[in-house]
Amino acid sequence: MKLYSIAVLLKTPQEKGKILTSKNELSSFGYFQRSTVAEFMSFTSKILVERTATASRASVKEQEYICHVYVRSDNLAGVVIADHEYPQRVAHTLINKILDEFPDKCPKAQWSSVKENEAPFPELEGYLQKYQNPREADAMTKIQSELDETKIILHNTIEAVLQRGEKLDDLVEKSEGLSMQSKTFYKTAKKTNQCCAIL
Amino acid sequence: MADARGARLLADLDNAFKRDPDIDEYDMLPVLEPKHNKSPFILQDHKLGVEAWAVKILVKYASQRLKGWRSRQAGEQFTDPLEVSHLSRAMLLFNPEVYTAWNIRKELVESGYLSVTEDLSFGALILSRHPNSSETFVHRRWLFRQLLDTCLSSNSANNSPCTATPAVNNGHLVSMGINGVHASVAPSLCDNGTLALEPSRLLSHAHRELRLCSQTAEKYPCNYHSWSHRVWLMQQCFSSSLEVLVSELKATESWVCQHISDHSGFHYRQFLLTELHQRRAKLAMTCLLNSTELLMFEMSLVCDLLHSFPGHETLWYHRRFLFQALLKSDWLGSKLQKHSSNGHVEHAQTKDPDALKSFYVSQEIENVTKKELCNSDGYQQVLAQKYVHWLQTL
Repeated sequence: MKLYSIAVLLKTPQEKGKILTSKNELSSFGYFQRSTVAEFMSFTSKILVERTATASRASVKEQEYICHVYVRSDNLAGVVIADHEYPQRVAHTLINKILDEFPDKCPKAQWSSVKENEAPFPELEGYLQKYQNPREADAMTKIQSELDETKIILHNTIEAVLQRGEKLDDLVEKSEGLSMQSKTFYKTAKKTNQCCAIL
Repeated sequence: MADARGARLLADLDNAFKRDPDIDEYDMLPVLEPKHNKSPFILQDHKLGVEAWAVKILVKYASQRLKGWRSRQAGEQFTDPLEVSHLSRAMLLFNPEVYTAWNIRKELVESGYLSVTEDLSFGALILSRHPNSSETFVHRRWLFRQLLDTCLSSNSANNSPCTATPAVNNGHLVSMGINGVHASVAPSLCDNGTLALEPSRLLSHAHRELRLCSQTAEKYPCNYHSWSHRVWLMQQCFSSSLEVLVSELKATESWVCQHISDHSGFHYRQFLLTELHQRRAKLAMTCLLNSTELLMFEMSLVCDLLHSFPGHETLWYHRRFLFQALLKSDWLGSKLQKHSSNGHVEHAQTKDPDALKSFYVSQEIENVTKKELCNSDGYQQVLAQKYVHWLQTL
């Protein structure tokens, strides 16, 4: 089981997702694919936060990945991207833990002013490494009741999360966060039906 | 026109390999059309990137040249063996399923134009991008056969008593490998020190191959070809030495804990446990290990994993294997003895192996019902139910 990415986001009043801080573990991807994969991880995190209602949880499957999202009632959001083996409950408990700690390091007043992906939260890297092995990371896998009552909504594809009339291809095409190279990667991968990168 | 570009691309690729002989990874870059008049091969940090547009032209060219050379068509001139090897390299990098190209490389190895070591590292490069390419693994087994053959012939030519049989010979090799002693001790194997270098070379290749298997298994989930290659290595190169089997059992434990839905990995452990159990007498003597205890330990591991990660069918199948193995082992016999020696025999039926078997089956059913069936939901419950059904058929 693998944990690929953890991100803390803010859902802005304009319903946009803004990455406050994020960390990726991409050593399992090919050398030339890593930058593209990283871009797509941020892209996906934003899309999901934008389309997840405030105070709700979701787990979205996409090929061999599962993206776990939680948007808190104060619009602070967390996204964890992992593979199918990674236990869903651990992923959501990890999000809880990170969102609880984040405001101590970066107070709420700064969330809207801080630059994209530059909020100070050095502990994130440690969490990403430690939670690669959920059994050692915490005894919490054995305590199944800790998670709050919020129901986790499951989606089978990212397309299922999109609003009516929206298409993933268009979102990729329009995105400013994706480089030309990543867009071509996406198109060629789609054409040859590969699942080399995320999405 | 296309032909000229093909020859140019082949030369560019050869240059790239000449500039950096230690390329350890390659990939296609999403550049669909040539944008500048430069080589489409990019070297960075021992990684080779190939612009996508070039691949089609290069592979077409290489396959035409190889086909022509192989069928010795009229008009096809003599081709230098080095060039043939480069053509097959260009072909296989992007198309490792082409068996003809692998066979051409076998011929090159046999005629001495290509060394086994060179071809092994080329195959490793291919596996970095195609980690489940069965043709590549098959070719590697052929290369290892070559190494084994030279190893055996160099030893039998030596006529030394300690290397007369391959089994004994490999047994020595393996214990050396475990202790991390290589060439320095090798001459003690034979009277003639020069020839004894061969076995140590084979051994270091085999250990490298185990690492390669771990990498390919990591890259591609449920990598059947990688794990069955590993089984082959155990049987052929390590002669199923007990020390190596035990060290493999230890080495793959943390791996399966992190890959709980990878049946191929668990199957490898089943192979190890079966091998160890079949030779339990020797295992107890040389390694001081009890094969039944190994099985029991594995059972508690899988139960623990089932508890932490509910809903994975692989774990339940592993449990089936273990329970069956335990029933067949002397576990029942030892329990029987314990019962009688402790004077705890309350029912006469426990002396009867069949009755004891059904007693343990019902105990297992009770365990599963109490632990997994009642306290779980969803898929885990379905799987637990299936396991109980299976137990009832025993």
